[in-house]
Amino acid sequence: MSIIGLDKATGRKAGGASHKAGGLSQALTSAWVKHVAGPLVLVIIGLIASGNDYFVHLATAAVIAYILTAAFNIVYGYAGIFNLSIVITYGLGAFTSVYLEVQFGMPFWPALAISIAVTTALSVLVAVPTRGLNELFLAIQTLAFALALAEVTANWEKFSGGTIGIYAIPLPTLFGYELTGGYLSYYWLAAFFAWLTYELVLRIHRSAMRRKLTALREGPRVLAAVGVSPDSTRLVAFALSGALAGLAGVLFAHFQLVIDLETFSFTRLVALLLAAILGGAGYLLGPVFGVIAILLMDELSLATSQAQDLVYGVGILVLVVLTRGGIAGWLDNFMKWIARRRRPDSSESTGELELDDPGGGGDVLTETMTRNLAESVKAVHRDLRVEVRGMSVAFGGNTAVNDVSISFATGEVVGLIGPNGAGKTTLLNAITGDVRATGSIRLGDEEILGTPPQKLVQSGIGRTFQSPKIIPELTLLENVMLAGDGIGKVGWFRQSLLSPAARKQAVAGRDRAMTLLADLALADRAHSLAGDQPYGVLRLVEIARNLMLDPAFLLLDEPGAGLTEFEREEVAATVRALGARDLGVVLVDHNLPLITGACDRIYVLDHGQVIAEGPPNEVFGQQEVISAYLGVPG
Amino acid sequence: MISLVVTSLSQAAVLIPLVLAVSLVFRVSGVVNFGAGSFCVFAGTACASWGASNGAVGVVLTIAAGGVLGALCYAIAIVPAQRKGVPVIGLTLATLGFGLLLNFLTRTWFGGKPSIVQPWIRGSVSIGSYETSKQRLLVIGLSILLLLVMWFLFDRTLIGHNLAAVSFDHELAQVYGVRTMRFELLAWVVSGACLVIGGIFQASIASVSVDVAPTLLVLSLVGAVIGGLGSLFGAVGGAVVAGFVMTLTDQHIAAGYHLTSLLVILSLVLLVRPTGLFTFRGTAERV
Repeated sequence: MSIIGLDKATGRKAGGASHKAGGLSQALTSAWVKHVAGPLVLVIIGLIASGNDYFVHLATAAVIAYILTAAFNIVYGYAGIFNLSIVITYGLGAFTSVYLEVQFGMPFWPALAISIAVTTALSVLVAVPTRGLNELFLAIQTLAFALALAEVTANWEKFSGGTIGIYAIPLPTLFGYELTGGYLSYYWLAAFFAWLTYELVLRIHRSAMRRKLTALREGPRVLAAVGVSPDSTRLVAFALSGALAGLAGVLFAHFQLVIDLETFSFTRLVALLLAAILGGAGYLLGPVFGVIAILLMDELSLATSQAQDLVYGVGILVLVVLTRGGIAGWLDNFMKWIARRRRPDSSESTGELELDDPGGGGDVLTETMTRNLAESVKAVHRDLRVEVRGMSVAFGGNTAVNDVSISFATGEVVGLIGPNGAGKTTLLNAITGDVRATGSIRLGDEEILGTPPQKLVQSGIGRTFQSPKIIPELTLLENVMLAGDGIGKVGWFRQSLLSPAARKQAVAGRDRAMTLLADLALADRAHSLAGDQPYGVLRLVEIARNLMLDPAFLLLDEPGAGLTEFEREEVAATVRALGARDLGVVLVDHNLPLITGACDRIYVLDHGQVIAEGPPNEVFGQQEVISAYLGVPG
Repeated sequence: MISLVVTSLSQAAVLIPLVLAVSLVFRVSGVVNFGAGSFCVFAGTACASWGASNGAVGVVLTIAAGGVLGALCYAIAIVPAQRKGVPVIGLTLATLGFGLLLNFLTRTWFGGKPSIVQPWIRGSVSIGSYETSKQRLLVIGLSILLLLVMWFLFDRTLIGHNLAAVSFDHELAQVYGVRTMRFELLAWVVSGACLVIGGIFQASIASVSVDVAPTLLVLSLVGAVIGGLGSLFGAVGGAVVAGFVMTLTDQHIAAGYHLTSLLVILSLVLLVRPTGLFTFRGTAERV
C-alpha cells in the first residue's frame, strides 16, 4: 500500500511538472483531482487488501493513524502549536465511546458523536491555560497534562479498566449489519471517516483557514493587525484537532476491541510525532507520507526483531538533521527543482487558481502608481477624528510617553517626528493597544483606550510596523488576502468547510488583493513567497494589506527606514495618495524630506512630550525643534 | 509531620540533580532535554548491574558513563542539528530520539525489568515515632552536597562565569574569546552526570524501569519550570516544591494523584508567574 500512497503524490506532482505549462498540467494539479484522489486511493487500498487478513488489518490501522496524524498536523503543522496532550485526547475518545456503550448501552453512532464532543471540549480546555506560553513551555505543560490525565483515567477503573483495560467492546452496527474490527467491513467504515478527514483538511488547506493558521504560527501579531483574534484562531485549531483525535480514538477502540491505557502512552505519542514530522508538518499530504513511513518502520522493527525504540530513535535523529519539512517538504523542493530545470525562465507560481498577472515590470512610474492606488482605495467619505488626551506610558520607572495630547482626522496626513527614543513608536503602540497606557483616546465619541488590537482594526484603525510584519511562508497575494479573511460574515466554521459563501468571499478578496498589488506594481511577484522578498516590497505589501481593510486611519511606523532612495519615493507617493483619498494617515519617520513632502501637519516629540506642532515649514523653523534634532543648545 | 518532611525531602533529593541538569542545558543550549527520563533509567539499571558485587565501582562507572552519554547526546543530537539551523523544537525532538536509543540500550544490556540499587548504608533510624531508612537520609545529604558542589562550580569559578556568559549570549561570548562549543559540551557532560546521579538516587530508594522514564522526565521538567527553568537555583527550589506537593498529595489528599496535583501547581505557576516561582529580576534570563 505504500507504493500506492507514494504513487498518488509523486505521480500527480510529476505529472504536473512533466507536461509543459499546458491545460493538462493545470487539470492534473487542479483542486478537482485532489478531491477525487483521496477517496480513490482509499478504495484502491481496500480492494487490494481484501482477501488478506493481515493487509486488511494493516490498512485499517493505517487509515486510523492517518486521522490522528492529520489531527496533529492541524494543530502543530499548520498552527505551530506543539500540543503533546493530543495523545491523551485520542485515548479519551476511545475510552469515552466504550464507556458510554458498556455502561449505558448506547449504540455506536451517538457514542461516537458524544465522544467527539468530549474530546473537542477537552482540547479547548487545554488551549485556555496554555495561551501565551512559548513553544517549549507549551510542550512541557501539555505533556504534563497528558500524563496527569492518564493518571486520573487509570484511577477511574470503571472508565478505563485500570491497568487491565477493557475487553468487551460492543461492535458498531450499520443498518443492522455488524462491523467487526479487523474485517474488511470495518476497513470501509474507517476509510469513510478517513475520507471525511482528508476532505476537511483539504478544504482547510484551500481556504482562508490555512492562511489564518499559518499566520498564527508565523506571526500572531499580524492576525491581530488584520482584525482576526489570534486567541480564537488558536481555539479553532485546538478544537479541530481535538475532534479529529477523538474520532481516531473511537475508531481505534472498535478496531482493536481491546483497549488499555498503555495504548495511549508515551510510545504512541513518539510514533505520532515521528509520523507528523517525518511526513512533513504543515503539508497537506504530510500525514499520508508519515503514516506510510511509520508503518514501514514498524514492519522493519518486527521483521528484524529489533526494538521499536532503536528504529524510532535513529529515525528521529536522522530526520531532524536531514530533513526540513519531512518527506512532503523534500518532495515539494524536488518538484520545484524539476520545474525550474524544465522552465528555467518562468518563475514558479504556487497559487491554485491562476490569475493573469496584469501590469508587470518594476519600471512603473511612481506617478501612475500613485494614481492607480488612489483610485482603488475606496473613497468612502467619513468624517472621523481620533483624539488622544493626556496619554502616558511608563516602563518601570522610565516614562516613555508623558502626558501627550494629539489628534488627527480623516483626510489629513499627520507627521510624528522626534529624535531616537523620543517615544514616537511607543505612542503609536499605545494607540493601537500594544502597550499599556493611561489617559484617553477617543474615536469619535467612543473611548478606545485598552481595546485589543484586533478590535481596533475592526473599528478602522490600521497600522504598519517598524520592521514589516509579514507571514514569510505565505505568498504576497496570500498575505494581502489574509486581511480580507477576518472581515465579512463568514465565520471560521464555514471557512474551514469552504462553503459557497466562504468561496465567494475568498474569490472577492483575491481579486481585491490582486488589484492592490497590481497598483503597487507588485503583480509579477504576487505568487512568490513573502520570505524571499526584499524589504521595500514587504513595506508596500504591509500597506496593501491594511488597505484591504478599508481603514479610516492608517498609522505608519517609519515606513521609510532601511529603504533606498527610490523605494522611499514610492512610499512617499503612496502616503500622499492615501491622504488624498480621505484616509487619515499618521506617519512616524526620521526622514525630513519624506515628512515635509507628505504631511499636512506635524507633531515633534522629545523626551516623551510634544514640543511643537503645526505645518512642517513653521515647525522646522522653531529653535526647540532644531536643538532637539541637531543637539544645538537652545 | 516528620514523615511528610522526610519523604518530601527525599523526593526532592532525587529531583534536585534532575532539575539542575535540565536547567543547565536549557540555559546553555536553549534546549529542553526530553531524554532526561531515559538517562535516569539507564543510570539506575546500569548502577544496579555494574555495582552488583561492589557498590562503589558501580556508582563511579555509572557517573562516568553519564558524562560520556551527555557528551554523546550533545555530539549526536544537538551539534549536527544546530549546524543545520534546526529550530528549538527540532532540537528537543532530537534529544527525545537520543532518549529512545538509551532506552534501547537499557533494554538490551540490562533487560527491561525494574532495578534496585542496593542501599549504601543499611538499617534505619527513628525520629520520634517515625522510622526511616538511613539510605533515605544519606540521599538527602548527598543531594545537598551535590547542590553545594554545583553552586561552587557555577558561582565561584571562572568556568561558571564563562558558562553564564555563554548562556546569556552565545555570539557575544564568542567575541570575548569564550570557546562556546567547549563550554556547551561541558554543560552537557555535567548535565549527563547529574541526570545519572538522580537516576541512581531514585533506584537506591525506590526502583526504576524503562516504563517510568516518561514520568521521571515530566517530574524533572515540571519541577524545573515551577521553580524557574532559566535559573539553576530557582529550578532547585521548584524541585523542593514538587517534592512536597507530591508527598502531600499522596499522604493527605489522594494516593496515586501526584502528577495531577503537580499539573495544577504548574498551571497556576505558568499563569501567575511564568518565569518560575524562584526567579527574581535579573536571574530569569530566558523564558
